[in-house]
Amino acid sequence: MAEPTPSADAVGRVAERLAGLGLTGELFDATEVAAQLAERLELDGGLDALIGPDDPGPPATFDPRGR
Amino acid sequence: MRTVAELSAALRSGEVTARQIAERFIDEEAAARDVFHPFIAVDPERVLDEADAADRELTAGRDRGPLHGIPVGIKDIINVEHYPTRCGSPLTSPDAVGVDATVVQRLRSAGAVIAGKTTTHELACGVVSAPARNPWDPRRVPGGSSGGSGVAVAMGLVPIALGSDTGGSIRIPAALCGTVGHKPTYGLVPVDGVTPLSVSLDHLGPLGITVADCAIALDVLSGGATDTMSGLGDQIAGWRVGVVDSGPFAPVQDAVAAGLERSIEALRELGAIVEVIEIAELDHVLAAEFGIILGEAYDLHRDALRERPGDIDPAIRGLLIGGAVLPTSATNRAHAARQVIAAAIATAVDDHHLDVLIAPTLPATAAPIDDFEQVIGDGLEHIGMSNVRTTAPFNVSGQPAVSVPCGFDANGLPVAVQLAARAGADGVALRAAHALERLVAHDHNTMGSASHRRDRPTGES
Repeated sequence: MAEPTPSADAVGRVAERLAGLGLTGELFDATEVAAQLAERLELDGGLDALIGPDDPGPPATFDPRGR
Repeated sequence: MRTVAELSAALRSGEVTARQIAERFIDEEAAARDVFHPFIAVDPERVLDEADAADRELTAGRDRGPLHGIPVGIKDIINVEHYPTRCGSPLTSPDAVGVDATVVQRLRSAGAVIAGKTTTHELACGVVSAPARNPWDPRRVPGGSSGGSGVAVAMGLVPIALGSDTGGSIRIPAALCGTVGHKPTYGLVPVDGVTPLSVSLDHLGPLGITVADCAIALDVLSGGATDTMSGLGDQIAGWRVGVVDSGPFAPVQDAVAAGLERSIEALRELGAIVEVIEIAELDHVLAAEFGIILGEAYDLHRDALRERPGDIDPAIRGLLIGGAVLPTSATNRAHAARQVIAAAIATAVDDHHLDVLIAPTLPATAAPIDDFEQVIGDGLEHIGMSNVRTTAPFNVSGQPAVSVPCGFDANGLPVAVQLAARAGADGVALRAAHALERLVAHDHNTMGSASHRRDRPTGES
């Protein structure tokens, strides 16, 4: 399964964030990171169907027995 | 090495001593070390001392229960006094830690002999566990991240070894090495004294030769909060079983599909009522799983990422960097998705009046060590994703899940299914797994040494 190609905007945002954290140099490749995030995390809104489009805020402690 | 029940009986009848069991372990571990690397550290003198102490207590009439005198392997992310905890990583210190993790204290209180530290994938974050190799074919991976524990149990070096499971890391090596592996209910087994990967998803549990071995271990690891052993052997006639073979559980290799089908037939023979169910929310399980892991793993390793990035495996470094740049809103959304997915599974179980779910543990058998992609169905999948997509659903939900071997592929490699019960119902999952094991896993359970396995014919499916 090939990694999806991230948009230039997404790569730019990742590069900016990495620089802000001081994570720079050849070990920190913004294109690769953006591709990984796109592949794994449904950052394109894929989760909207489950939880809506908004930030739900910090999570409550997870209790597998709680419903 | 035999099962816990067999060794326990032999110890009490005087057929063997704990020292003899320990000596055999030491010899077999040494013989396996150069090729299979199940353990990263063993201190023979300490193992023999602990075995002698167990013998003295038995002789004096102090019997601590079924684990008394039994050697147990400990994954090398779990602190054990007198051993360093290296986590498969150069980031860690070679100095020994001073205090046992709670689970190790509980094992010692139950009389277990700590055999040593088993090989883990670096930082418990991966499915290869180098330098450990698969005991069925050393050209292949044992799975991970608890790979050494899978190898140690499958080779019969110890009947039980501890693993951790954040996205499948107990069940993956159990399935690929042909052992049983139990991921308990989230929160049931304490994780203090253990190097975390993702605190919201980390579980500790046993890998064992048999389901009974795992049940005995769980009842100790839970500190007496469970009594799963007492239910093993009871009938499951009339139980309702839901098959989940769609969403992240598809596609699978043909041998895996055959193993699942064989297991379903076995459950029907046992009188269970089996139906196929679908849970659409599971399509998003990897987004929830990785959204949580990335953020939490970065929080744990942010200093190392900044100061020693070259000492982190590139694939793991990539995950940590992903966590570094992930907006808080994305992590929050992953946690919210988790709640929805867990609720959807629980609702499906309730609506269909199910006792357990059954699914393939993994979509494929063990990959060659240099192949990071596998053919599954019509596509090629990276093993870092394919090995997790079928196990992560029960990390996200926090339900107990037991992986049981159920056959072999055409290369003689083990295939497995997993049985999951409601959260807190570990005994139900183990009881169903125990019933199934007697019909589909007998070939795996009668294995002794690696040489025995090398001699057995392959080609079964």
